[in-house]
Amino acid sequence: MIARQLTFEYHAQKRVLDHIDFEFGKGINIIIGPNASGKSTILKCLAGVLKTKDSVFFEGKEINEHKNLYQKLSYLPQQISVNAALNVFEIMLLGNMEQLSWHIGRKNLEQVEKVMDEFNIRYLAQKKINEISGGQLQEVFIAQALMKNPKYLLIDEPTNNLDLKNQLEIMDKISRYARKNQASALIVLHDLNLAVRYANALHVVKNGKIYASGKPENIVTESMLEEVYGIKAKIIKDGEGRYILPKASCDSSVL
Amino acid sequence: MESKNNPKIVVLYGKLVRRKLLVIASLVSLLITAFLIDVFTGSSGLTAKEVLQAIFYPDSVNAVSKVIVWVYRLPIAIMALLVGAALAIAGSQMQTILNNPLASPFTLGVSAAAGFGASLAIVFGYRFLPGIESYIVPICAFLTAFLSMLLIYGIGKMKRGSTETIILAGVALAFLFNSLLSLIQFFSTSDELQAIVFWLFGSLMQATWPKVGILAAVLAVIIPLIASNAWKLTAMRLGDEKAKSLGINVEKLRLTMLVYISILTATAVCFVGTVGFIGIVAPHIARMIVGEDQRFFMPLSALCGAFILSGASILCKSILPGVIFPIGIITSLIGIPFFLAIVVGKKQNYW
Repeated sequence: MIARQLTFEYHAQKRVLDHIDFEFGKGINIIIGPNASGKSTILKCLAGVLKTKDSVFFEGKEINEHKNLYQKLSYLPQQISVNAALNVFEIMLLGNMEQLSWHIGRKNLEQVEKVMDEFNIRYLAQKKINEISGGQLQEVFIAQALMKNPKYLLIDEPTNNLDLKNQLEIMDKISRYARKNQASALIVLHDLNLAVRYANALHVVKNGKIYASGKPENIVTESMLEEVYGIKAKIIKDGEGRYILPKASCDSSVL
Repeated sequence: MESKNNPKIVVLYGKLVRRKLLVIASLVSLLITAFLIDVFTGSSGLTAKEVLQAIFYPDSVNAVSKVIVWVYRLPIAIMALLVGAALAIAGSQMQTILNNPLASPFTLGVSAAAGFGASLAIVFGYRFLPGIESYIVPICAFLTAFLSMLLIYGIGKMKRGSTETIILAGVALAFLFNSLLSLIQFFSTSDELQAIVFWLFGSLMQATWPKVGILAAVLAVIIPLIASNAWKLTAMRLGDEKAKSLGINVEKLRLTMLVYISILTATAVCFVGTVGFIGIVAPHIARMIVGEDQRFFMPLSALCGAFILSGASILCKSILPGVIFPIGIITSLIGIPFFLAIVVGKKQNYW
């Protein structure tokens, strides 16, 4: 999946993405960057939710030319409106919307069960979607995104609202899914430590441009953190990996 | 080949569907009861037995009974069902595509536009188009109602189907058409004014078989069109971005549905006048009972709407003997306190 010279502006005056060239392949690709840098906009353009022209290509074809794009691609926005009178089971069914008809076949139901069991959320099946907690909601929608066995998985901040254990578990599940299905996942994350830990490839976005792309260990450096995030941080290496320890904002005066 | 976990979601789904079908079946039986009571009720003093006789063996009863049953009671009672169903479906789909609990043909100005059209016809129509009086009012009401929806559609299309724009445009048009209506009332004679006001009250009394046939035909065409989008409409409630990522062309679906809704509403309203309230209430009741899986939500909305209007039709005739109250007034008077009680008393908030 490739973005070529991707430029996007909500208003003529404000260009959010500025001629981005960007490529992502199989495995876990993670986008990091400060607030308002354009991370979510990249995801929306790649997901086809925001319309672009001759910039986004899947499997060698321009995004608008794909007829059945959404059978291969799942996109999960950062905020999902959840005021519908639907239960978790029905939400799961919708994940496979293009396959549904007035009669729900056994195959659809078995797929719901399989995915719910993988996420251990079958106990939620009968709960109304507005009765469950923020973390459960996040899990349900990630599970929903996997219902159609997508080859491309675009997720905006999947670890929002989750406690530490669930953050790790969700990232594990997404990684396992990508590995098992030879799928490509592109994930926006705020948590740098999670990003470093799970990314096969890391992309840093700053002011609507790609600041750097590559292996996490080559990219996450103290100087990058200072230039992109404006923070002084220490990177600690131990046997397993690298950990970022933020110390201070570059802007805050030292008193 | 059954793995050991398999039956559970299947079992759950079976239970879910059976429960919802049961609800629908019980509403159907309530509806049949209401319909029968509606046909049996009237000022002429016919007994239920005589009415049934007139329905099933029209030749065995005297001419007066036959006329009462076949010319008045049956078309009026059937019209109540059809108008209730049409407005309820229109309201349920409007709330769905606009993601807003207040959306309905009434709140978005369609009824106001129809009222304007009807008053236009009442004041000017007779002068220019004598001879087809009984149809000129509904035709004008239909045209203006449909025109108002086209305006909303056009404005929505300019803004690429954004819900806020569509809702605000609808509210603005409601005010516009209400002012135009007042303007016409201001210039009308007292006879015309009375006719306008009576039309605005909403009444089933003008129901005839051809009108029943037209509305039934419109329903028969539009319902399958909406039903074929059932899952897309259900998915719309997850928000535009999520719906798009499920493969729905959100703007197109929203605008197409607006057209269907316009046709349904304009046809229903033009024959009976302003009976707006059904479009908001019936979907809310249906949503509370079966949720928003459109396969059940839409039929139940229609049934609730039909039931409420049928009940109101009975009340219209039975409050004061010999007086038939306008149905628009009765539905609002009886329905609104009842509706508020449900809204305040309900355990869940869906909006």
